[in-house]
Amino acid sequence: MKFIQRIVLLAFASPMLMVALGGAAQAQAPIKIGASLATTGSFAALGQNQLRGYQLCVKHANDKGGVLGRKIELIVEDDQSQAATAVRIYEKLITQVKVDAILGPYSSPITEAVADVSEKYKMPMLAPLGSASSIFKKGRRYVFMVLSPAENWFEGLLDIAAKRGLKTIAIIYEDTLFPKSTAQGTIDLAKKRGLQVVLAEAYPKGAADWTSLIGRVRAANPDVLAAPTYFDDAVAITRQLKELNVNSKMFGISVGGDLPKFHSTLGSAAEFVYGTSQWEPELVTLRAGGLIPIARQYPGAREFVEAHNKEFPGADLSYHSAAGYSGCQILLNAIQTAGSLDREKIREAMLKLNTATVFGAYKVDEGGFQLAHKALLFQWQDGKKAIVWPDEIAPGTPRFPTPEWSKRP
Amino acid sequence: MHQSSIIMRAAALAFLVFVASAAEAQPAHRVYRIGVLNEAWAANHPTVEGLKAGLRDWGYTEGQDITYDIRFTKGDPAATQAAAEALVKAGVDLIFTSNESATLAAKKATDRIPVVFTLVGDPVGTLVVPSFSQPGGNITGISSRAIELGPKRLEMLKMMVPKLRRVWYIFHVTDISGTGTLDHVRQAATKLDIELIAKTVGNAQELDAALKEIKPGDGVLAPAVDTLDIPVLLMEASRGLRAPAIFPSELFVNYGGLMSYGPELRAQGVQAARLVAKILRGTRPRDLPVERADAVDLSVNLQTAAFAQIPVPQRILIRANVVRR
Repeated sequence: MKFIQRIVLLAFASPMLMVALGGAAQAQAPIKIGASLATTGSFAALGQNQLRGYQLCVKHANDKGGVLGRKIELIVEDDQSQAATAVRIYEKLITQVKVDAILGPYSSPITEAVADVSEKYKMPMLAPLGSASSIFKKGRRYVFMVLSPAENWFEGLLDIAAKRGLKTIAIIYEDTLFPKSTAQGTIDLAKKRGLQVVLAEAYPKGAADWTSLIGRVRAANPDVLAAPTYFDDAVAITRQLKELNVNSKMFGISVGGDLPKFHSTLGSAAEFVYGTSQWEPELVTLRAGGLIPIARQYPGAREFVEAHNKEFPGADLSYHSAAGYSGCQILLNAIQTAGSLDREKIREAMLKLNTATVFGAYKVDEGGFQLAHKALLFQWQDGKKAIVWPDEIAPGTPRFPTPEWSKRP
Repeated sequence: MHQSSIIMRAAALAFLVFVASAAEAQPAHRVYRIGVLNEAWAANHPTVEGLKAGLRDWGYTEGQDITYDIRFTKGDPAATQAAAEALVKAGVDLIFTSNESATLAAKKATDRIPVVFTLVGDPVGTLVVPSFSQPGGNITGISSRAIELGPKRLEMLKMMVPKLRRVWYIFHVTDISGTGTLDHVRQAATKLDIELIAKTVGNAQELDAALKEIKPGDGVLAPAVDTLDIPVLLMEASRGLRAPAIFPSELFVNYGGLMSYGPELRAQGVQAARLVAKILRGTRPRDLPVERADAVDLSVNLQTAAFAQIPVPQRILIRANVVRR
């Protein structure tokens, strides 16, 4: 009962979901798609973006008549950013609500936890915001990746560093699944690019003070500092670097730095910080080499951005929103291709799809590991995210090196 | 009191003059300002990226030894002249141009500031310079070899699709490189038994109408000049029709064009950087002969070929420097 109440409350909070639920009155029962999302708790900001992506995708699908001649009903409950809660929600969705299909939650650790549920019930799950490679390397058959792998998130940072002749890197990271994957990938990439790793150290989830760790960064004096982490820590670490006057020629963070509130919270301290993004609204207007529009690699992205701004005026639009939309697009595509709600047929379709969505390329290997999608690197410049890598599409150039704190404007 | 104040001020002024003179006597670290002019849609045109990379190799680090004032005019020739004049007014040390319009605009805007050009297909025919060996004036640069490469592109396209009978050559009415190569391309078409349909367009409506005339089975020879976004729109149209199309540079092949034959854009920027470096070190532009672009690449996109159901002949694959799979 409590569960149903939550759905209804969410439906009233969301015009999209009301439209979706309205489909239930039609002659054919709607296709029910369930998901758990972090709409409160530490991942709330990003989980809400992902939710809007799901909602918009369902609305657009229903506007076109749905899938297999049936409307789509989206059923979402808040997992409060807790993996254990998410596991219970997916169990309920599959066994009690008896959804026809599921979409993934926000974050790698929660995806890791609920992937066991989808596996248990042989229910294919597009996981738009789970990118730790280990999730997809455990022999699971029913979980599919949309983002580029966590290990590659600092590829752009290291490419720029190597080209600029930098020699050393320090990596500080939260001791949880996704940041650990990114840290390990960064260590491997650094070695390949000829950078020496002078410090690689984890801190526990929930840490509030990085003074001693930043002290060790100061002692190591790296050319590059990379911090695989999440939004709250990204803000706090940047703030403490400033307070302790520790500066590297490049400083990059993995998750959360792409949100506008990263800059609005930190102000000028956010300037020069590099961040990874999997997608930006700006992509629809960029031209490779200043000549060739790259929008074709993101079909429908322009319409997605316009629709998002219309349906959710003032709401944050980030790669999490687009990845959510994309994950839903891929699921619906797979259902259409399968021609039924047969879970094995949908799984086969997800494995075989080689397509491009608003989020970019999608193609997975037999373990559901993403092969096609590429990340971007941006740098905060004058309050805006300037895409600075990959070179061929980057309209901006890095402001390099990052000046000492005392010499920044 | 008043007198002593005047004396003290005079002494202070004399000291300042002395300090300033002493500072002038020191060899100051000169930071050069390079003006960049092209008709791209963003600052990262490959020739500019090549110029920057080349100048880095010559010891000019961006931000320390050199800065760039980049003006791009988004395929609008009307904006190019104003941008050239703005660069002159801004007092840049050298203007680096890409394409004929930008180069002629810079030439018109100044006979004093050195100009180094790239992507000029026929520097003599378009009156950018009187001769390769003695460019004269304040201009030198890299020729992108349109006269010789235009006909070769048609030949390569025919080699890719031996049954090709009709090819469209659409370029902007102000594209003097397109006009200049037309006779040469026509001669090649006759030899290759191809009906060449050359069409100049002056605005978006005319371009749209011309694109609609291309039929499945026709070929497309894309121009080098980006005015009105013609090469990009030809790429999109040819993909839609699954029509074979050839472009002047590899960049288009990287983003869905079928094939290209010509010097790579970035490489021309790198090559031009050597001329720029020499000028910054005191050589006069008139003493630097115009160079031909060093390397010519044949690039093929096999995905596009497969999509267009064009079997790529072995002799194309053997000759291709770049094969995108």
